[in-house]
Amino acid sequence: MIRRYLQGAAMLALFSLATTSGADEFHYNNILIGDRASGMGGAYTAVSDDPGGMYYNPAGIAYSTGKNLSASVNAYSVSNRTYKGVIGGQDWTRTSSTLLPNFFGIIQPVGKLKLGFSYAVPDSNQEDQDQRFNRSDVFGGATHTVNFNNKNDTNLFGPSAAVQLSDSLSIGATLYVHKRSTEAILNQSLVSNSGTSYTWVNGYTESDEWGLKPIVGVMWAPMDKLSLGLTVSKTVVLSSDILTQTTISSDTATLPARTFDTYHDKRKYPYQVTAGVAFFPDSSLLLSGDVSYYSAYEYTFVNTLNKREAVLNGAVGAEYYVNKNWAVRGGLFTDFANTPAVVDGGTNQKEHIDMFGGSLTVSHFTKNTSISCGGSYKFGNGKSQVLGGNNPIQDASSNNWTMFVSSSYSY
Amino acid sequence: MKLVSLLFSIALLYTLLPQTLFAAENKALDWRARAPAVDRDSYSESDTDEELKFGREIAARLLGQYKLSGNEKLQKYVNLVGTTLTQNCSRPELVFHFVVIESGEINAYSTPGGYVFVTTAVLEQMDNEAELAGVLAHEISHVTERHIVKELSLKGAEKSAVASISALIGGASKSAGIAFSQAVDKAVDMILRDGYKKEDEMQADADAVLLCAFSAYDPSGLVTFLDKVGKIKGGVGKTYPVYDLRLATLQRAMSDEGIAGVKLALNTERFTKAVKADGSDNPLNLIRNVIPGGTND
Repeated sequence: MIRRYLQGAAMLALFSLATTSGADEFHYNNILIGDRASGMGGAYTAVSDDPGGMYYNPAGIAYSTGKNLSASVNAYSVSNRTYKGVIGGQDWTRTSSTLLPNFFGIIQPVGKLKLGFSYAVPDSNQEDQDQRFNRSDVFGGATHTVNFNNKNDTNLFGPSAAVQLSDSLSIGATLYVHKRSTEAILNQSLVSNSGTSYTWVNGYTESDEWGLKPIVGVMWAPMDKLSLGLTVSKTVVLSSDILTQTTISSDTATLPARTFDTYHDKRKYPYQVTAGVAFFPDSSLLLSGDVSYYSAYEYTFVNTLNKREAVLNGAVGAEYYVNKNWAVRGGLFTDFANTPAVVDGGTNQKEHIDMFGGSLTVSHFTKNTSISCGGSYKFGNGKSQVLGGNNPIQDASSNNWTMFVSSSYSY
Repeated sequence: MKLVSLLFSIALLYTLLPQTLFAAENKALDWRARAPAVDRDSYSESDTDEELKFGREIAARLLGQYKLSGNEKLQKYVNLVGTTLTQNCSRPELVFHFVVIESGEINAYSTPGGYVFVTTAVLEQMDNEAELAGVLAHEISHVTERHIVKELSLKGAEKSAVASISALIGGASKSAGIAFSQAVDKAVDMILRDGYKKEDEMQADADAVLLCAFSAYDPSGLVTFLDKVGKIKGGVGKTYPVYDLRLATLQRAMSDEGIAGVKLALNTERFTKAVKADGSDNPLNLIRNVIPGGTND
């Protein structure tokens, strides 16, 4: 019964919650993490010698200097996604803005070991949307209102340890606790201009998942001034609680119809293997590059099969110290979609937008502290089938800019 | 089970690995160090031991040239102010010693390892404890930043400064002994005659005001002192660079660190009783009022 209502709603070109519930789970480089790493486009696997290394390559913290070192990053991130000609030839734009503590980390030497603890937010999304469309294709003319509230945060926190096996070799590991929370409310109404007909659909979904994300890394310097890094990681979900609720009302129905369901489906995440190289020509210049491979995987989540394809992302970064008090960092990176390419004739296809980005920061150093500020920008174009089913495919574009301020302290 | 075996194997491997494998005692590879950290080289405990021996020898030479002040209470007072500062310095592994020496020269000296000397003449130019703290903090910075050690390295071997000194001290040969003695001579000349590099003096000033502020002393103490002695013709220690430049650089550094205009303790009365008195009154009683159990007679 409910399914029939939903199908009817879809025919009226209403969005389905399943299509829109994701934050940006179709990409992996959603927010750059860390103080120096953010400025270098995330190309940090072969550097990693500060608290940010606990996220990128825990083996690197073995080379951190200073008795004690901490760093924190706060970021303001804004994302825009536009789907062309979705409803009545009009674009649908989704905007998310969030201010978040992006990273905090502290490292402490303990004997031969470097121990640390860090907190990272690799993905965060907060949408509060209110958009109206004029429809001529239903009810002989109607107003379609979409109110969409979406929160989707992934938090990682946990300890790290690293040890220098020799002057040129170190190993390390981080064991992150993974917590992802989502809450999405999609409220839509379709009211005829004559005021005689209406359809209203309200969908609510929330989920909480807990898991672990171990990161194992190794760093090796085959020769002076050259560093190689390698990390392997994977998030494993241990528990998941999902609640969905849908309410539909229409002047063609006698009573509002409701569904209320709970699930315990566990999302899957890919294996991630990242290899990095860094070149330290002198104390003022650092060049680095990373290649990250994310494996393909699929899982069923709330009766929907989710397929993710293998992704290969790249990043290059540079750091230049103008003098011992000022440094500039820059980087370029890719953020390719993990969804299959959207093809004609397909159904329920997830959007596929390959993105490219860059970052730039400026840092000021005093004796034991540094303050950095800067930002990153990424953009991309692709295809989507945002209405699901076998509805038309449309062009889609996406961009994100993030401003961040970070500080670090060592003594 | 496989995971347990793997973890056990890793733990066993770590335990059995020879200590020599863990070379460098947490030293970062030099080429990894970035510009702001290059001056903060990594040193091992043995490096510090060698530095201490080197500094002790230099201190002995200085004590051979100057007479210690016989005012025991003044010695304790200066030591206590200096020790208070060292609680916040960047090299907690060092035990500092502060000594008042009889000299008409307005100056202060320090040697590697933590031996700090202030002349009676310099104390006479001071008006409060914040000024004394500023001067002592300046000398502490020369020690913590290893200015002498690094300067000698630049003039000598290609290796790091400490490695050079270690070779001199550790060398059993007669030539090593001669080289060590020559290094001590150079250090003494640097302290008493040639002075530090201008950049080192500026850095010591900047570090000093920060250390004073961390220790709750008014950071302007060093500024007022430098301003005062800069105006004295002929009586100022000849090892210091131009005072106007120093003052301007120092005030810029204070502004950068956000401590310009910060008002903290001057302790004028306590200083006056300790330094200006003839020794009959015990200034340590004043300190005890502030720091219970802070010192022993």
